[in-house]
Amino acid sequence: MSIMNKGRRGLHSAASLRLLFAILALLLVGVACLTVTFKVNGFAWKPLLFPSAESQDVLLSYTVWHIRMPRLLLAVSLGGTLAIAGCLLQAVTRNFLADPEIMGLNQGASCFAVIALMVFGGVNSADVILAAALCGAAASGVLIYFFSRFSGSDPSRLVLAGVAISAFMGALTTGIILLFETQLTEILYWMAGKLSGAEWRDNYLVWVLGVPAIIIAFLLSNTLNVLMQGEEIASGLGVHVKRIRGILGLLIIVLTGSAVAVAGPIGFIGLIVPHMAGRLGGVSYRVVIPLSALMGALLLAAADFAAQWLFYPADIPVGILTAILGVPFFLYLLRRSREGGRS
Amino acid sequence: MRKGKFLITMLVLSLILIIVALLSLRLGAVSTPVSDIIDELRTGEWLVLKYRLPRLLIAVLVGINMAASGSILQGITRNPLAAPDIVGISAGGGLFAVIVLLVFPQLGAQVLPAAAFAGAILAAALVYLVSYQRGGIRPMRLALTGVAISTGFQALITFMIVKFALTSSQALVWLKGSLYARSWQHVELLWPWTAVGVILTLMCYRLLNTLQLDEDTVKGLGMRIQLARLGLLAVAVGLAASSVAIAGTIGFVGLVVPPLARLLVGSDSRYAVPVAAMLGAVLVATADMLGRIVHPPLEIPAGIITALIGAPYFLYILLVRKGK
Repeated sequence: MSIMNKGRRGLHSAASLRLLFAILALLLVGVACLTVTFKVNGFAWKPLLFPSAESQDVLLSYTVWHIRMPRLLLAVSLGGTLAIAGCLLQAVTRNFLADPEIMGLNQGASCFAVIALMVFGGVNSADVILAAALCGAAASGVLIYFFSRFSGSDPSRLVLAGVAISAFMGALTTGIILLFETQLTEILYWMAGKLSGAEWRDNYLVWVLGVPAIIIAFLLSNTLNVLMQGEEIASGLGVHVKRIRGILGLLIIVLTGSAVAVAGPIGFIGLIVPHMAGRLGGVSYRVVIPLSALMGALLLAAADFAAQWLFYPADIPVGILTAILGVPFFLYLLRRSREGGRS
Repeated sequence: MRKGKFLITMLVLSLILIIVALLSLRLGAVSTPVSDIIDELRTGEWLVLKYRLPRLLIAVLVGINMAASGSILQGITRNPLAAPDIVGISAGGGLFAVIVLLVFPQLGAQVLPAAAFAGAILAAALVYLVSYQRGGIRPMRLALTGVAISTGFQALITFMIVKFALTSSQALVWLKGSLYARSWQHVELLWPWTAVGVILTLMCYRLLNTLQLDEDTVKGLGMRIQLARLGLLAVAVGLAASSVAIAGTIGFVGLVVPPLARLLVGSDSRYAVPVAAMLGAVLVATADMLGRIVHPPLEIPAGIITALIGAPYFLYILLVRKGK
């Protein structure tokens, strides 16, 4: 059975795939330029790229390099991270409706992060939040794994179980916030998924954890292709199914946890992007994983740009925008599917 | 025999409700001995009663409303996952209420219930239409559609709060279903809905029972099935929307209570609906009391406590009892 690059639909040949990647990359560059330069007073490329003593503009370079740039890069990194997390989650649970937000991973991470913030109240450090968010994502992940054993082959049931987990975690989070009412609006804003006020430090945090995880995911893509043929075939072909599943679960937790730690729960990127990537790039994960990363980056960067300027001067948390995009998409997927089966 | 069991259950539940009510009046940031409460009743100088009694009444009314609404929804859809908060009614009502609260604060209390009601109907209609496919509505699809649309409404609510962040703390408390600072004015707004809704439901118990049979049988009995469904649906929406308008989204009550009631007295709606209403009242009153006494003087909204109880139970229905 040939698995490589034999999508039933979508673009097949290597040339057209390359073209697709090129177009998406160009779009991303376009969005990036727009985001960095939009409404910056007295903007010019020259002093920015080739700073010299006489033409230096401190305000300009500060705006671009310390406000716009980190935010853009964070949107790009998180878009890729979340898209790949969703991609892996859909593969592992064999569930086309899976998404870190819907399944409660995000809520688990933010719940633990809020608990950590309250317990270590004075130490408002990013490391504590990061560690807690990873633990929280892991806790939700273990619950989902446990329930996926129970729920059998029906994808809807697992999603509803995830909804219940996220309702539980969400109630806990709000309860804690209300009990220890400090900086409430701050946390509320963070819980809606925001990128404003991003710093370079946030980027480093995501890169340190995200980049290795993405590389491992890409290296595992062939194994993932085999795994999608069914567990029996996969183990017949010499894949350690349990070990691979464990690694994939760990990757999902790391990707989701680090994303939530930095920006709060941003939903539905992990739901929308893998489907679009699958449409365009076929069924091989060797193509779908990098394509998802690119499209996720593009989507989140564009969404954040819109969130920033659509209701100016109010800066809407980008998670709201992705949710408003994602819900109709979810409904569309649900309608298209036969009950219980893959679309 | 059924009737005897029903009477005993109602008696026990009433006793529990009375105990919870007494505790709820007695306990709080400042606990008041029962003798003082009786004194207040006798002398007519209400102090504690002025603040705690309306709150308790609202908890009871909201519990009754949510439980009855859930019973109707689960009955007419023959779907154990149908509940006001799952089907999107709560989120829709919540969105419209938040819009009124934040954008048109001058309109105030008179418009709020009407707006919540409109939002609830809109959301219910939306969920119903989107989940309808050839061959009707399947339980899982209805639940998933409702959850998705609720998520969308939640996102819009957060958007409203962020954009008009005047008193977001208040809005957050309201959204999680709190009974904080509810007064007699709210009781007056809520009780007609409860009374009319519950009486209508009890009058229609035969209808509810028949609708639980499968569709062809019901048609064979000569019932105008869509009309009956629509009428009952309107009652359910009215019950849920009114309590959302007054107390915010107190989740999982409508989901958890009706199956429990059926477990206790069987599936005959004549008995199951009153028992569900009593159970709902006990649950919300207890949740409100717990929320007040866990960590005084701060309060945890009752909706959070019901969610913490309800979500695990939902998982249990979903996963463990799936064989039935």
